[in-house]
Amino acid sequence: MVTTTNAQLLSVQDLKTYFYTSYGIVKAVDGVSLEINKGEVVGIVGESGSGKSITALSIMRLVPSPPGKIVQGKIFYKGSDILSLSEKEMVSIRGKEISMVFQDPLTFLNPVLKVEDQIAEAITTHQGKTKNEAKKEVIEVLKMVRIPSPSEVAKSYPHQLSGGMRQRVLIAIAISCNPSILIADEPTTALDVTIQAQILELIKELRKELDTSMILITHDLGIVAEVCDRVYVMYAGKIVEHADVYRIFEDPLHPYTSGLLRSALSIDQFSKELYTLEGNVPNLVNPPSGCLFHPRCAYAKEICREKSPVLQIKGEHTVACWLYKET
Amino acid sequence: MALVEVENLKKYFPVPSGLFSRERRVIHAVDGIDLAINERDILGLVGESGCGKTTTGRLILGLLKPTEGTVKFMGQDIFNIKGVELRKLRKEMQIIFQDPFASLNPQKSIRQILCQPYRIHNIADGVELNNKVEELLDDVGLTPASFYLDHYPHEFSGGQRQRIAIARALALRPRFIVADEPVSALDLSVRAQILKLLKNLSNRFKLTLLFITHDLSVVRSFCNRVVVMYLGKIVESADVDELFTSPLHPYTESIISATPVPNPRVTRSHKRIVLKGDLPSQIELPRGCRFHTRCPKAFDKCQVDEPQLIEYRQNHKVACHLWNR
Repeated sequence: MVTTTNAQLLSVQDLKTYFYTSYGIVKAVDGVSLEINKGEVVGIVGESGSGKSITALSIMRLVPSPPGKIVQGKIFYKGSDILSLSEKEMVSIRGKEISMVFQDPLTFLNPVLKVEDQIAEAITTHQGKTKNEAKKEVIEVLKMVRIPSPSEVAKSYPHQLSGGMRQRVLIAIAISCNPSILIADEPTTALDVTIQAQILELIKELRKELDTSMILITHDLGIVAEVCDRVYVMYAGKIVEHADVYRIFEDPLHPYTSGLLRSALSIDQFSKELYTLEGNVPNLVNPPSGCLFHPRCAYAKEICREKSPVLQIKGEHTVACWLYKET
Repeated sequence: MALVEVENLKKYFPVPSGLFSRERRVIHAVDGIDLAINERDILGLVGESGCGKTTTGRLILGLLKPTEGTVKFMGQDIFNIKGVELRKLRKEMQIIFQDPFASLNPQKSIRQILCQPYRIHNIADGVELNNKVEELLDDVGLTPASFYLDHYPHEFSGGQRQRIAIARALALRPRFIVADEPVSALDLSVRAQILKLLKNLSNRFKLTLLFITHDLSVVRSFCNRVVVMYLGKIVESADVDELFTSPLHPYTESIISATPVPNPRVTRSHKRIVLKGDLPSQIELPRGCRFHTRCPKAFDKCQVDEPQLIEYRQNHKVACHLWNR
């Protein structure tokens, strides 16, 4: 069976990641399929609890277990299913082939190790280089992420750096082994707007220089509009819509996507009348029947309350909504 | 007369130094600001973290003592009154915090939380108190009240908790509320709900709001005036539309251009001003204009002289040598 085409780097098929908690089973990711092609930046957008981060952690095989467990699905990376790899084999992919940048750099940097040791660790682990060789490379990597005076920063500890600098260091670690895929989970959420602009510029430049594919996870529609090529919109553990970035913003099909876009605030197309999408994201232990969005949906029909919609292709979009059911 | 008048307000925090060190260093959190908030204003106070916007909010409410300067509320100097007078004033001014998970006492039920302000000010008890609290929940869209009253904060979502925090702030029917990043911790769809609620309430109860935020998109649709702070100083203030359409200060320009717009065609076509470097230290401030180290338009004078806030146009003030030659 051919599961990946040439351009396709990663293909997630019907992924289900559940959490077994004392309250019940939380279906954090419930049947997610997505693809990443070579050189692409793919956005995963959703509110908290939509399963976007857990999708990323599943791809990295970093879901905390217990309570979490990948119960179903396949994740093909360059043709082989990484869910069937042993932990040892996974180590050679994680950080080298697929690496990740997290939201809060302070949590993911070791406070008692110098920056150079942390970057060198990634290089020695994955490229079999000696520590001295690796330390030379550290400076190069720090230059790549546009850190001024890289040799000083290399000798510093994380607490001596500003938030923006720490995020650059984290990106430096992630790209040190020239990965094929970089997953960035809310990489600028903890940063100020001027620093966010710097990091976004860096991400765009690195993309050109390194030819790395990227998965950008965010709740900020402005960042999606700026950086991504294709967008997956997630709601309550499922993908509800998927299309090219222009189509998502200019012609959203799913009522959730269009509601989210209308309620997004903008300094450009602002309105003094605030539009709101009423209600809250559903409780995933005890989700509503049928389409998970139906309690908040203005267009909900009988069938929406009864049956969960399946993803279907509608022109250039893929959408999971009964409104677009072919008759 | 403005409802709130701030004059030359300063707040320095001491930096802990070594035991035997003679050197005394301070963080210049707020470093001499003048500000007037008119009745019914929804004033956005924006800036990056460390610019002093939260400290300013707390000083205005009298929650912090200033190093220097005065705050007048309804004509009274809030740092110079005591006892009954102060209590009376306190009723008129309230605060809503950013994180509704931290601002509500987890050990108290919603009923206890909402009764507290009435008890402290001896306003109501018994059935009357009960009615007032139910009415409050109704005001913030949490109905039926009986469903919420005897539960605890952890049982509610972020949006619901923020509604409870808003209800608490409204309890004494204040005139003035400081909202410190009230929607930053909330999800996208909930954020719009809370903003809409705040807007409706401020119309209904004729509130004056000081809205502290780092998010310019929120300011654009929510506020009518904006004050921009940088390193403890006001660099620009104007009516909201004026500020966004013709910003004067290079810092304002850059934060407007750095804010991503949720429209791929717009956001990809405009030229972005990316500032170099980070915020300088608030302990050793740059000489001259505080912004000159990152300013793309800085010239000789900026490194020496600190610019004053001047009224460049009517209702539009700016502190920049480019506009004061």
